Amino acid sequence: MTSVRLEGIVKRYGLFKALDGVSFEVRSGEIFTLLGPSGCGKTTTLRVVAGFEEPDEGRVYFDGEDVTELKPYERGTAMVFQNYALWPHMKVYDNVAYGLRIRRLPESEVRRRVKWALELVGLSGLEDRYPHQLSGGQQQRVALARALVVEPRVLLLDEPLSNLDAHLRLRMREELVSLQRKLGITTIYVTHDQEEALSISDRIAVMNRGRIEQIGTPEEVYNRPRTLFTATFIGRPTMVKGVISRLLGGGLAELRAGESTVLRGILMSGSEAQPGRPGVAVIKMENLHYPPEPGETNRVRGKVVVSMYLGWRVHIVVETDDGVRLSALVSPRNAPKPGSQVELSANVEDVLIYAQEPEV
Amino acid sequence: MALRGADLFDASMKLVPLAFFVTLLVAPLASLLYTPLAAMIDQGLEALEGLTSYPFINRRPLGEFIIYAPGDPPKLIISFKDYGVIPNTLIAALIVASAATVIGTLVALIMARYSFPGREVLRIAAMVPLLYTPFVNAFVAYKLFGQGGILAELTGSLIGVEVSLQGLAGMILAQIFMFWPIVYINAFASMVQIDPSLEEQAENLGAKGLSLYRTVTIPLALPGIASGAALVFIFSMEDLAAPIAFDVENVVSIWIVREILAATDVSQISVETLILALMLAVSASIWFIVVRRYISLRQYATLQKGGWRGRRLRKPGPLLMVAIYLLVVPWIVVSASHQIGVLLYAFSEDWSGLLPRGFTLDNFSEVLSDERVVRAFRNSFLYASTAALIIAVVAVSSAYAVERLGGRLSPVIDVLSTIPLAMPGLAIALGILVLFGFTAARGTILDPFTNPGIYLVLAYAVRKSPFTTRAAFAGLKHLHKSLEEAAMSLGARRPRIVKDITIPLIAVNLAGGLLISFVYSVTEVSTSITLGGLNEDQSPVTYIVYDYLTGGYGGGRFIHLAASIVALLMGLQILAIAVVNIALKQRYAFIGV
Repeated sequence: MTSVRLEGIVKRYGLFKALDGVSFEVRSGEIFTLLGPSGCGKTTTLRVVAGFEEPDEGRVYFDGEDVTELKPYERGTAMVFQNYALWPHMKVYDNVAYGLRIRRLPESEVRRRVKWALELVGLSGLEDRYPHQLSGGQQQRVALARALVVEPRVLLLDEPLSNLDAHLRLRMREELVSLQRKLGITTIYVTHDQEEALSISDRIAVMNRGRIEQIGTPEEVYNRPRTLFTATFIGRPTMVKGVISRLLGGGLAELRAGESTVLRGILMSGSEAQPGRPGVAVIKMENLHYPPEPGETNRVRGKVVVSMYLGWRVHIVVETDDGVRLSALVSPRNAPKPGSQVELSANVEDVLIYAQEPEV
Repeated sequence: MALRGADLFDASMKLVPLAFFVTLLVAPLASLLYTPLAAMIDQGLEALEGLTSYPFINRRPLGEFIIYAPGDPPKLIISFKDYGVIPNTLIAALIVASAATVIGTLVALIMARYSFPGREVLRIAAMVPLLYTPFVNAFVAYKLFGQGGILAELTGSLIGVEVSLQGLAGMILAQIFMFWPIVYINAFASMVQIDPSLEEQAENLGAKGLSLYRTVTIPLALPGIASGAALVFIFSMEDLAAPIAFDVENVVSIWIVREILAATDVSQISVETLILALMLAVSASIWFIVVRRYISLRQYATLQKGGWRGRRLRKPGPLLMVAIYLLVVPWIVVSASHQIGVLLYAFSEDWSGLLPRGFTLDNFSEVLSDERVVRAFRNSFLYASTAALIIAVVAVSSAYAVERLGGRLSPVIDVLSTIPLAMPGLAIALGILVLFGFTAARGTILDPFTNPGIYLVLAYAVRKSPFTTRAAFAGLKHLHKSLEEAAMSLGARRPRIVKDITIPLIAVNLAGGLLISFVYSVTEVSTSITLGGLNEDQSPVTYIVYDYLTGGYGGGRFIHLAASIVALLMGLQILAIAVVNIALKQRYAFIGV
């Protein structure tokens, strides 16, 4: 079991800074997910860990040992690529056996371990197939078996489920987690799918523009996003832009949007949040309630302008007299009709207030 | 940089192609400079004075453009003035390249955008002139347009005047027929790659017909058109067949060949000849660099994301339909008839009148029972297959160095490995002779005057390597890096990855490229007839063809005998193209910078 530590990794491509001081530690045996939008640097970070990219600054440590200068084949990692990278000219067996043969294991041992790996991923009996004779899900499992069979120190997964259809993706997600728990291999997982990240990870690092915005457990990242980026990237937030009107003490603040919309919530920003400065209140859709719940002090009145039936919920958009728009998920049983006047409520603890960063 | 590390293996992947091209391309061309420079240091600009007077530049051009000879029937001979070796060559290349560009682009536009009855047949017919038929096709051109040829017979009986072409004019027309398909095939390839949505967007905004082509299609296809035009300019300057057939003495290519074949020592080659060869090399390099820069700025023709829909082919309007059947079809038929004419010569006893007479296989049996021809075929196959082995190593290492290793040297290797396609073989041949024919080498096994075989192998390897290198490039481009990285992440080192993953996965591309390199080595002309003529025991087959057509070898039936050899070479090419297209399932790219 191996721990991984990155310290101040900087990677430039010409003038473009793909990674800008990325540091984190992955504890041994955990699933650590790099989550962020396209181009945020998550795959580049993974490739730095694998040794495919050489950082311009910073160091990479495995179990405290500096591996920055080591070549990919000397690191003992195994990567599962987004496109699986199965060798089309080799059968399933030879694909999986490749890493073992490189390690010059005796053929009997190779056979034993390939059998073990294919059983592990549920593909026994398909040894003689070529990759093109397999379904997408089966190919994915071969890629996983090929990585696991060499018993890597660190397993690197680059959006491994993104090429599968929605149904299969859910199933493979469960299988991946149970396999990882069984083997206890330190795993770094890259995805842009927040639901996938929240469901499988021990901890998540949210990345944006080559930097790490926040590292935390799924609950921390979801419920207490430290930055406005994380707050808007994760969950289905509704954002209300306004002015921070008062600091209330006890870590609370008040935000005013337009004439009549006032929201109270937890102040997430530091010293830059001062009365009179622009701010944003972020509320997850499921935390805006209709009908209003007693005891929730944030109340907003407005007209339903959009209503979309999602099956398990109805997504409504309510516009106040000031033009502030809020999204909420309500039960189909008592969903208000479009055009009707409604009142929404939200708990103070579910409203997060951030000082607005200057526009770039 | 994706895969990192600068170990010995990486270095050797870069050094192999660099050493190869520097020794066999850069150094020979640079050595052409030595004697002229020495002469200039010695005598100043006076050393070059010879180049400014006859025969190189003719201040009082001789001859007429049109000659009318009264008689029964009267003759109208289209000719050209003789401006001297250098202007003749440049004027001809400019006219041929311009005409080929206009014709090639128009035909490509019609083939790529319109659907009409007979289109597929015409598309195949337009490829026929790309079959390489050394020298003999130019003699067919003479048969078609030269004095006493088919055109003269037809016009004589139709309008009472025998119209024919001679000299430079005939050479230019023959070259236009020979080379326009090179622009056509490059322009066509560019046009079919244009994302249909780019044209549809323009149509959607109101562009149609000519304005659509002028504003969108042709600008987007310009990289292909420009590279085709550049190649035609170079090929025209270097061509030997048309000047020989139309008896043109004063062009650069003929001048260089005569000098090389007459020399028994490097010192006998004149400063003027060396400078003419340099002129070929420099103008080819300039074209190459201009086109490369141009192309690299314009890689935007394909930008489709999402689902690809087929292209809509338009129905031509009545006017265009008439133009297609009255102009394009006859033009392509006459172009292809050069190759068909080769077969007619090969399979006939006599072709002095309008039509060939007497079907026979005797020409084949005669050449194949001639010890000299058989030895030449054996030589050619030996040289071409040895060259193919060298090419395999150079192609894999240069493609790998450029596509996978990167670094500062990779653009250099990229250019070096492609430029031989555009570099005139005559300049390379003369360069090799100058570089390796130095005094110390004379009389040894490395003497190019007595042992040209070695240098033919090396020259073929340099000149024909781009076909394989480009195939290897294409293979590597389509081979996702993750396939190699997956092996590296499992612990394999680069040499092992190249052996286990890279080469097996680009093997089909390599095989296709090598086959094409092999065939074009067998049909190679420029170095074959120059270096190959230095010792006849080691001559390749194209030298024998040249000898039939210029040296009086074969007696009165010399064209028929030469044509039968070339027909065998055509068969070889068709076989190779069929294998590449059908068995290896690759799109066969003929030529392009």
